[in-house]
Formats: sequence, C-alpha cells, structure tokens
Amino acid sequence: MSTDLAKVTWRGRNIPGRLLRASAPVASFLVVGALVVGASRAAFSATATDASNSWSSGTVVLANDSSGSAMFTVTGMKPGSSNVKCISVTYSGSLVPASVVLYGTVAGTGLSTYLTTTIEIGTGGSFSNCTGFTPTSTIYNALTLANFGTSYTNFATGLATWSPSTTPDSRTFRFTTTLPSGTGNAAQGLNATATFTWEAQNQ
Amino acid sequence: MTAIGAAARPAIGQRRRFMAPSSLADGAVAFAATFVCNAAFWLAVWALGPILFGWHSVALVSGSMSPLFGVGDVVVAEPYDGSALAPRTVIVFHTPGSDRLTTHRIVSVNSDGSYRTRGDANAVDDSTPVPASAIVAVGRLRVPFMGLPVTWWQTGNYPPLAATILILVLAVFFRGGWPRDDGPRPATSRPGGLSRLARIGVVLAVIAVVATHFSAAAFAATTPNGANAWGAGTIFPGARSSTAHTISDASNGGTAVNASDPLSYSGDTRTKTTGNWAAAYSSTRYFELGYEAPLAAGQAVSGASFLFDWAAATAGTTVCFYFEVRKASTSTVLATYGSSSSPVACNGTTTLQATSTPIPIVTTTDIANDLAIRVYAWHSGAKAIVIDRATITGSTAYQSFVLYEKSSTDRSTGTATTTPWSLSTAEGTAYASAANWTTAYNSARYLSFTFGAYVPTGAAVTDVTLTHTWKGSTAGKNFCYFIQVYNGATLLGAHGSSSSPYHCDSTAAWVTDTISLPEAASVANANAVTIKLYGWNAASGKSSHDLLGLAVTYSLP
Repeated sequence: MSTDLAKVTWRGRNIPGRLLRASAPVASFLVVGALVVGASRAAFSATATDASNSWSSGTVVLANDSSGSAMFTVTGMKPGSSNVKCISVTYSGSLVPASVVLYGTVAGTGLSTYLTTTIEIGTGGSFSNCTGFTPTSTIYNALTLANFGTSYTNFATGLATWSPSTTPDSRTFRFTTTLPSGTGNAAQGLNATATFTWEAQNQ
Repeated sequence: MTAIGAAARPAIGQRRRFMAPSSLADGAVAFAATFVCNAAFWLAVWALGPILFGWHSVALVSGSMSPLFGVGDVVVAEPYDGSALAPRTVIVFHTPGSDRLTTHRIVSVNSDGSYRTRGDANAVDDSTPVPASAIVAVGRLRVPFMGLPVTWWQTGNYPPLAATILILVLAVFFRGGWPRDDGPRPATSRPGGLSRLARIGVVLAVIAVVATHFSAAAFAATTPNGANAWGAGTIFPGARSSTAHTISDASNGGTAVNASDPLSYSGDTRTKTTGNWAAAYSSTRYFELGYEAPLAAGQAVSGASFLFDWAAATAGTTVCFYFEVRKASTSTVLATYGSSSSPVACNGTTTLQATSTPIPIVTTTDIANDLAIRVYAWHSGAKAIVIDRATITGSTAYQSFVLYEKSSTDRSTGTATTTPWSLSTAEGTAYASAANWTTAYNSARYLSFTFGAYVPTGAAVTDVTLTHTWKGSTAGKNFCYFIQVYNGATLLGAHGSSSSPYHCDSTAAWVTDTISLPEAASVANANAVTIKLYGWNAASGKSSHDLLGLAVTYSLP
C-alpha cells in the first residue's frame, strides 16, 4: 500500500516526494526552534554543577605537593629570624597553554606588615625540603607579606608564575619570610596567617 | 528504492525552472538537503536575529560551562541593564584584568554588590569577583553548533570544518532532489523565499559575526597552601640592666650592716630626710625621683602604683603631698595625681605612713622605663619630712616588678640637690665600704650586693654580665677583690679567688670590670643574683664602688 502511495503522481509529479520536500522548511524551523528553546531552558535555569561532571573538551588540573600541610608554622620569631620553604606545583590539565597565577589571603594581628617575603620560582626541591631548588626568577622580591595579601587577591590581580605549555608541567616555589633585624619592639607578640593559592586557567 | 535507482529515472521535463521530486526517494533527498539548508538558516536567524535589536551573540570557545553548554554554542544575551541579578543567571562579562569575555554562571552575590561566578564544569568559583560594571549581557538563548566552524578553524581542526562545508554545499546542490542529467541546475530565486545561496550567505555571515564575539576560556583549578602562621616572639632579645639596691656591708669583719638604698625598701629603718619645706604648696619645692629602666620594652603594664612611705620629721605638724608622673627624658608631665588643694595624703604624725597611689598613666613598659615622679609637699611647721620608700610597682603579663630610683633630687628648700643612687651610674657618686679592709683576704670581710628580679618566667636567658666600676683608696697601694655569685644561699660560681684575685689595681682611679656570669644564665638565677665581693687593701683603706650593674640578655618566645 505504501508503495502505491509512494508512487502517487499528479501531473507527472511524485506527490509524496513533493510533500516531503515541501515539509522540509517547516520541519527545520520547528526542529531548530525546539532545539534552541529547549537547550536554552535547560541551560539557563541550572545551578553550577559540581566537579564530578565529566567533560570532553579538556581539563585544567592543578595540584601541589604539600599534602595539606602548611609551609610555615613559625613561632617565637625575633628580629633577624628567617624561614625558607619550598612547594612544588604541578599542572596536569589537558588544556595547554594555560596560565598559573599565585595569590593569597593574609590575616593576623599585624606581623604581616613586618614580615619581609620573597617568592622565587624555579625547578627542583620539594615541599619537604628545598635541596636542589634552582631559581629561575624572583616573582616577589623582599616586600611585606601584608602587601602580598592586599595586592594579589584573585586570578585577575594575581602574580604571574608560569604558563604550562606541556602537560604535566611542574614548578617549585621557594618562599622566604624574614623578620628584619631592625624590627622594633612594636612587633613583639604579633602574629600573621596566610593562605597561598595557585590558580590555573586555560588560555 | 535506492538513490542509484532514482538516478536512472527518466526526466520529468525541462519546463520547470526548479526541479520537483519525481519519487519518494527523490523527495527524501530533497527533504534532507532542504532541511539542512533551512536548519542552518534558522540557526543563523536565532543566533543573529537578536543582534538587530542590540543583543549580543557570543560563541563559547571552551567547555567550562559543560555539560549544558558546549564548545561552539552561541549564547544570545540581552544587554545588561544594571539591575540586580539572581544566582543561576548566566552572564557575559569582561574578565577582570583583561578584555576577554567570559560566560559563566552567577553563584552568589558578594556583600559589595559584585558577583561570584563559576563555570558549571569548574570545581571552584572564579577567584575574581565580577563587578556589575564588568557585566556585558545576560544570557537568554543558547544556539547550538553555530560557533563550531570558527572554533574548528581556530584550533586547526579542519576535517569537521571541511565536512560541514561539504554538507552545506551538497545540501544546496541536492535541494531539488537527486540530480538528473537532462536539465539545467537551478540557480534562480525561488518565489517567496531566499535563495539557497542567500541562506548559506546568511549562515556564513553569522559565522563571521560570531567569530568576532568569543566568550573566553575559563576553565579554572586552584591548589592552596593554607594555615601558614608566623608568630613573633613575645619579647625580642635584648639586654636589660638594673643595679643593686640592696647592700650588706661586712667590710669590718663583724656583723653585716644594711647599707641598702634608703628610698627603695619599706620598714628597714633606712630613710632619707629632706630639707625644710614651706608651710604652703610651692611649685618650686619638690622631691623628684628618676627611675631605672630594667624592663623589656613594648609590653603592656597594668596596676602601676606609686608607693610612698613618709612621715613628718617633727611631731605636732602636718605634712601633705601630691605628685606628678613625668617622662624622665623630657621632663614632660604625663599625669598629675592629687593637687595643692586636694593632696593625695596628709600625715600629722611622725609615724611612717604607707601610701599606694595608682598611676594608670603607666600603661606600657616604655613609659615605665622612662619614668620620673615629682612629689610636691608642704609642711605646716615648715620642717623636713622623712621618706622611707619611693618606688613604683606594676605588672606585665609575665611578671610583677618594682622600679627603684636611679637618682633623687631634693628641692624642698627651693634649691635642688641631686643625689644619684650610688651604684646606679658611673658618675663619681659611689658607695664606699663602711670599714677599712685588711691588707690580706679575710673570709669575714665582704660586701654583698643583691639585684632586683626583672626577667619574666619562661624567658630564654642567653647572657648575664656584671659591670663593676670601682677604685681603691690609695694610689700606689693595691686594692684586690674577687667575687662569688649566689642565688640566695646557693653559691653559683666564683670569679677570682683569695689566691688569685679577679682584679688588683693600685692607681686609685676608677676601674671598670665587665664580668660574664654564665652561671646565672637562667630565669631563676638571673632574678636572684647576689654578688659577694671579698676585698683587701694594701693600704688598709676602703674601697669605692660607683656602678654595680647587671645586664641580662633574654627573649621570651
């Protein structure tokens, strides 16, 4: 029956074929409209989903080797005290190139205004010790920790570190904090806290 | 019925300018081709049309909003009017710090009115808050696929790009159905609609427009190192000095005589008698004390008080006083306690009266270390007064302390006489042994000096040094001495001995010895140092001691 219908002609034209072709503009209009409207409804009403989503378009993954331990837990600092720590940061995302910046938050009762901080980037060394660290550049040179906290607060304002162009790609950061030898008695008994955050974004 | 079969079908005729399907299969091909052409056109209309009304179309070039938004999607966005936006809203904004556009979703609103955003696929919020001024548009429509060709082109992914172009070309070519070899290809407009070429042109134009409006990549990942902490020591290392105010003099070989500072201790029968005061208050008649500076700087002080034990020297009269707290180095008045009309205390007897007056102006050890007290007194009989004690007490968080005089100035008569505490400074006012020494060492003949306690509990004591300025009585005749260091009755160490004196000198000029006392380098010992000085004088004369200071270097973690 369908074969018969498929062969129905009128004035030499195949009517089903003609109808089918004639329906294409309308069908495409409806399908595209439904596609756009449906996609939009879903996309614009969702909440930000969590990290468990998988995606095929690439990844940005950043980790450090501190295992959750703080670099610095220093007490009893006195003028001239200096502490040096290293931490290795590894970019292992699939998206390259990427940019890695460093920023942080600084708090406490005011010691941060006295703590001279230097941050170098290089290779070698690890969280447990700096042996083998070879600096390639100094990204924060002998300014106060407080200044770091107010200057570098997020990705946009953060300190540029390096741009991974291969994956994985690691760098080691050496932090040196010093209470200068000339520090006055006003710094006695003060404390400071800091969180350093590295953030990677693909370019 | 196959497409090959369709190709073998006879021509319908040449009178029609565009072909019509001659079979169902032909119609299916035509349907597919037409559908593709029109779908591309309508997608373009969705993506481009709103631009005519001032909206924005941006192509996503990363998957940071996946899975709901994919790479190559076009987000059509309504211009932002500045109104408050709710979480979940997808916004197109200028990435702070750059001119890139980012399309992310609002997570929350910050207290300052800026927005916290995040790509749906990101594990972390965007670190940079987005101020309203950076928002370009609010996403309204998602048009799939339209940005893909440009994305492919940009990333050098040419196969799908070529395939897409091929499909579009084939779609134009086959729009009328399977091609036949007996008629011209349609090339003219179809009545009532855009030509295929025009539609494809629209699609390409949209691709071009979209190509200039990318929403930037914004996959982000962070790795923190938190809980870093630094703490400064409570008291930084430094040497703090005091001098001995307790003297026990056994230079005569008999019972030791108390020769301590008369102004430093209460009830020890050692007092200082001033000159004669006026019967009424006078601003030029006072008794002023300057205090030593034995405390670590930078510490808070609480409970500071001025202890003043005193009496009228003559019965039947009344003496009254008030006082000022001054900064010793500049003589600036810091505070006044009492007044000429409202004295701190009056005493109508010759019995010593103890007063303790809070001096809350002393809030730090920096003030306490640079302190002077000026006592204004008046005496109904215009006579002298007797002072037994004039000290400062107070506490830091780690210790209580007593400050002793460094010198006193008696201006009770209107004329000033300054008397340094004999052991406080090497200025010539010295303590002379009460008796003549013998020519040889005698274990019963000594001077004993005891220091105050100023080292806080828990301190790390790194050095204790005694400074001793002295001379013998007679030029050409040796005075020799050695010392023993005690904590109470416990002998800690000796420096020199009877057979090998620490120092002998015959010039009768001032000599200064600096003696390290490592045996006293602990809080307990440094706070209870007694120096026993055994002397002997070839001239059988006395000795003089101008300075006996103890410098303790310590820090408190």
